[in-house]
Amino acid sequence: MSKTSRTLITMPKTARKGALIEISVIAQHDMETGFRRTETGELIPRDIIRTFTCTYNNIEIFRADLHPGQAANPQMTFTVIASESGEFQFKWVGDNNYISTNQSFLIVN
Amino acid sequence: MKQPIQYKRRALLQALPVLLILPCASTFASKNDAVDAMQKIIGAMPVKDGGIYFELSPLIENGNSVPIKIEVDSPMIPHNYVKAIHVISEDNPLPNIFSAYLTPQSGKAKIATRVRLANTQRVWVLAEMSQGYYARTFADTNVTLAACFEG
Repeated sequence: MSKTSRTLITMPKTARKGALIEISVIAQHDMETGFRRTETGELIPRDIIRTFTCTYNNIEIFRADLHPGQAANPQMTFTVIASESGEFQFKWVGDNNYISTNQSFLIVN
Repeated sequence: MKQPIQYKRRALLQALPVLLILPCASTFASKNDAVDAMQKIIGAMPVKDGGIYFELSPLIENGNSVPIKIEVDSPMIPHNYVKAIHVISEDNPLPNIFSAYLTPQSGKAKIATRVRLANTQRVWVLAEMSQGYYARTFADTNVTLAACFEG
């Protein structure tokens, strides 16, 4: 059984050809560092999102490695040139079989 | 009649040091760990200082969520672009915080994210350029509430 959670993508729906667009992504996740202890002194095991990838018409345009130093509910902002209309696929993969996917369409005119 | 109460109080007082020490037992990365982590990324490639705009607030009230912005000077064309951006901490339990991999399609080497900072420290940014060198910069910050161990 894999875990998943809510994700949110913020990006324009349409863009002029060659324009620079900004994509902001956020995933709901505690990002448990593996360094915190419970009140009885037991170490809480690490549970984080490890990688994030974004593809544009099946070509990878952005990838990120996340570490325990990333804040909870990891948020990332990056840019891309709008070259043609198409689909953006977003994928988060993490510990304990965590997988989340999301997609968005961009119309270029 | 009073004896049982005294015994309980004594037992609690004896247990106090143990209770206090437990949450404090932890290990922080040192400056050397950060240098090692950077060396591992850079390898044998040359390093140039500067060429990166790194926005990190000089005073942070809560280290659990610290916004950072990074922009690298680069035309982002197929033979001259930023391949990767790494964020390294000098005083977190683990030196690596975040690594992003870009392509010429990115158009601009500009990213923003939120990180955790465990202490008042220096944070490094490394940018791998496609021309075979690394650009490097740092920012110092004061953290009043540490992350990773609390909250």
